[in-house]
Amino acid sequence: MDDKRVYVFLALALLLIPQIPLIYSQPSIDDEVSAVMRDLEYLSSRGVNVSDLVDRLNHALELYQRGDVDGALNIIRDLRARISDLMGTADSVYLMLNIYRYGSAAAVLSTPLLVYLLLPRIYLILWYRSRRRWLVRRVKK
Amino acid sequence: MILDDEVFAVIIAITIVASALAAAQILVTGSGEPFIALGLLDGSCMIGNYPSRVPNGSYVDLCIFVYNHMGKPIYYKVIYRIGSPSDLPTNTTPSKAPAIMEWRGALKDGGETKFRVRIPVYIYGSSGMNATLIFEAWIYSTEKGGWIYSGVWNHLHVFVNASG
Repeated sequence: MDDKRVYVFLALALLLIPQIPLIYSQPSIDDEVSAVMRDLEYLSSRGVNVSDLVDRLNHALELYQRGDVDGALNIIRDLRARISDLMGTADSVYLMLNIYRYGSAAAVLSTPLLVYLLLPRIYLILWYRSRRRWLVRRVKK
Repeated sequence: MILDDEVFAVIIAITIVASALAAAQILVTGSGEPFIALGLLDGSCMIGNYPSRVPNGSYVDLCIFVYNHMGKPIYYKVIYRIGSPSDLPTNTTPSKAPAIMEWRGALKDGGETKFRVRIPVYIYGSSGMNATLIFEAWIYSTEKGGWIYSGVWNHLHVFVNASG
């Protein structure tokens, strides 16, 4: 009797074990979306414009909620391809962004120095130009 | 000197202050304190005209507004629960009432969305009683690999009539 129970248990186990990879191989939408979101957060932090990609992801989630799982997964697959293309350009975008930001800040901070050097000169030029047609006459005493 | 010294000093001082402020605006990144906003609107997606009495077992048309100011794109969900005033969430803990429905979406930083929802209102019981319709905003954390309650919620108190 005990042997029979062991055989039944083993038979059930043999039937169930091959199913385990099938049960766990289907990714949930959260797994798919979280992987995409991680990349989108990274790209966004590097200054890459990800608005379109986020809108597409939102559209995929709308499809998923309507029951169109395949449509949603197709969009997510397409997004992953586009994100992998953008990953290559993220660092250069970040570098250009920093050059622009620090360059603008340097230009703005140099304004007081330029005003100190140029304002008297410009003021003098304008002062003389406004009096160019004045007639200077020596009054004999 | 043609240009008065004191006038020149004032001009330089104003220029220094203005350029320091401008440089700070350029250099400081980030959009301030990160937050997410959740709004509950009526069936026409406007404020007001919320239902106060709902037949038991019926549906209510409402509109949900979500705004992202987290400084990064987010994957969010709004969970709908039915409970009582004692089941209200706080800004740290979600409600213990069971979740009835949820809606998910993705929003860019600074992005907002409004979407209509049709929510069932059902209370187990015979005659009319008060109920609280609770809407909570959750955000998916890619660092922690799971959903985190944002601390933001909306609720609507209604009186649930006997159906029929």
